Amino acid sequence: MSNLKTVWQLLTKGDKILASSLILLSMLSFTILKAVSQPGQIAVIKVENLQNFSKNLNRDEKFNTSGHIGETSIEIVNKAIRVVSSDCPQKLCVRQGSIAHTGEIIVCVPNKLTIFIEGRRKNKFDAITG
Amino acid sequence: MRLPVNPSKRAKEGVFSLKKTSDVTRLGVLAATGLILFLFESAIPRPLPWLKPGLSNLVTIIALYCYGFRAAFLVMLLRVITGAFVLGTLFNPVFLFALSGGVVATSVMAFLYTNFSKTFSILGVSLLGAFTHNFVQLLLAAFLVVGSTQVLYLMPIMLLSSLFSGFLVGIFAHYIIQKMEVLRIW
Repeated sequence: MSNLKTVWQLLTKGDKILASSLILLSMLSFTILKAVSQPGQIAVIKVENLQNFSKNLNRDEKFNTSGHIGETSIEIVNKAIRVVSSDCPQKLCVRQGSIAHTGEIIVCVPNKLTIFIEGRRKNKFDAITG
Repeated sequence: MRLPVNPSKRAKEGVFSLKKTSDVTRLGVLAATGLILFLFESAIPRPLPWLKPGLSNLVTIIALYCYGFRAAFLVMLLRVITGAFVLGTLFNPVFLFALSGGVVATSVMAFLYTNFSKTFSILGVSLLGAFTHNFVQLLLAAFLVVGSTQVLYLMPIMLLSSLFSGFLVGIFAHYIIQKMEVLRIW
């Protein structure tokens, strides 16, 4: 405990202000990103990594897919996509609500279904590791 | 025990010179230590490939506080280039991220250190260094290489983790510099 105390004493006033503002900034960055990010154009739906199809978000639509354990019904309304009902036990995908921005993703683990939204631009790389 | 908030005599007088063998040796030792830390943290399993603790920033800070801005920059450059050699990532996007993140973070830390060394302790300097390092890398990843803003969704995680590791590195650097002062090995 005494070590913790000495560390606290090392912090100057400037340090404390800097640290708290940086923490605030990194928390805020999430909301800022949400506000800034463009609405997506295409929803890519993957089921069990085999079926892979995309839907245009500009057209309202309602459709079903069969996943690993059962049916999932998906709805596109007002340029946003959501899972209306699913046969999975916890219904996390239904509770997540609708997504509309590029990069947002709905994952249903038991049904092995993912929905994610793409913008117009295609990625040049699959992944970059380091 | 006093905190080395003020530049050490050597750093202030700009005595550090590459013409002196002892200083070249110091540089080499710091860069090699940085390389070891870098390789060590690359070997740790982690949830996201980019989520590294940034331990090698430790040697940059030590070089900055003991030998000044030029030495810190050299140590950082050496560490990034040799690290890329060993991991086999030389001149690919990862190398670009590491280099630009390192350059910007070192510049920011040197700016804080030389101009605001009374306002911010070594902890604050290290904190902002880690923060800018991750921030610059993410911005580059989003706008230059991947060409999509999807990566930006990692931002909150990256920034919060950078604050945590920056704080830890700052504490380490503080105690190491203190011991170096006691042992008079700079």
